[in-house]
Amino acid sequence: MLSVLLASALLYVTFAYLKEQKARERRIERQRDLPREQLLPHHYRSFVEVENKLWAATAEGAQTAMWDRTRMKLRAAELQLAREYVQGLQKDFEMGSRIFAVVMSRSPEIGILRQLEWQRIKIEFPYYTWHALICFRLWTGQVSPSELRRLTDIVATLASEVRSMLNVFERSDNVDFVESLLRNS
Amino acid sequence: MSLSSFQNFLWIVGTALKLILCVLVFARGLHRRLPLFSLYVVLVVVDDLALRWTYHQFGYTSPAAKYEYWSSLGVVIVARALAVAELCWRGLRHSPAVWLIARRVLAFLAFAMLVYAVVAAAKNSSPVITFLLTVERSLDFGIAVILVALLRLGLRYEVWLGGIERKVVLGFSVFSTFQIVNNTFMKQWMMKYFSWWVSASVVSFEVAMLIWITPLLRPLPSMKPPPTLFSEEESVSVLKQALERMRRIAEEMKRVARSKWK
Repeated sequence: MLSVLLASALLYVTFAYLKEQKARERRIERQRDLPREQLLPHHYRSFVEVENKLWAATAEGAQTAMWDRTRMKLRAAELQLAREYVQGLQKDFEMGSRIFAVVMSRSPEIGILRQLEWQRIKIEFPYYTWHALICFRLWTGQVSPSELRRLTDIVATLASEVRSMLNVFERSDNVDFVESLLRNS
Repeated sequence: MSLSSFQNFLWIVGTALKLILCVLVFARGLHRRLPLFSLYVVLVVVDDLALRWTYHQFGYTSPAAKYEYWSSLGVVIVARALAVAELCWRGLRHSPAVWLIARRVLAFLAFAMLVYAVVAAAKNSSPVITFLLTVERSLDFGIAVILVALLRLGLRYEVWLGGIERKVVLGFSVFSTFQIVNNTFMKQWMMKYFSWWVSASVVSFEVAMLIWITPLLRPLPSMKPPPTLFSEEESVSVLKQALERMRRIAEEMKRVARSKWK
């Protein structure tokens, strides 16, 4: 009986992964005509704006307290704003991660791939931990600006490294590759 | 004893689907893209025709039919395993290091499967039949696992299969799952209900064939190879730079994580 359950689970996972492959095709179709800037992580740049809105929405008393240590109870409008911002950060992280994945996949040596994979796990683990923590807070209707800033820092670091890596590729006459990397990943 | 009318109907539908699939594979040029899968389809058709002829000439329960059934099963199992290995190669061939790892895993799985089947066969009074059935069962399970791993690796490294390859994956996956379920339920009563076991297997294969036939009804879209990045030496140096960047990001993550608890 265990084998039946396992086989059904495997078939379900196969369907799910195939669906994801299909979704990837649709995404690539959509990003064909997008400006280049939209294909790179960019949502994290609106952090200051989001923080200002959260600051403005905070009650007078709370504004004077230590802002970094505040855990705010949000109203529906601000909660929606914070949720959208976190979703944007998730998109940024996925974009950066995809670009690294394509570069890693071209590795000709197992040794380098292993090291790259290890570093990738070391990047993903703290990101997803912070992301889960913030999503949990948002689920309870709260947000901590300092936690939001930390998640933004992580994504901003990733974005800056991705941009400088792409610049290196472009400077070494691989403009076509960079274009294909951005449009097809 | 001969085939019942229901079994005959299934056989006729199955043979028709196999012939249609075989014609479409060559008409659409899939044999150039997936040669081992095409070979598998051809072998399935040949096996079907040979089996029908044997049943017709010597009867369903004759020794000739038995030998033909079990010997062709062995050939088709090997062809199926090769077709799945080809799918893995096709999916991962542009990622040399990933393919190197996947190749080792595939070789290990094939070896483990054979050892398991040999051990099972050695304990049984009909070693050849037990060997084939154990290999088939292990292969079905192995295929289900390998295809999930292939798709997972694809998602992890942005390595993607074409539309037709995805359908081939789905067909194999559906067939293997049906077979695992079928074998589990029929294991104890297999000999008593042997004809039902065979019929269920035929139906599951027909479902898989329909999945394969559907995308072949239209011309296949061409596959564009990904652009070449650098030569091997250059790419090693560029990847080392990428590694350095990832190390910096990981260090930054550590710093950010530590700052939380200050």
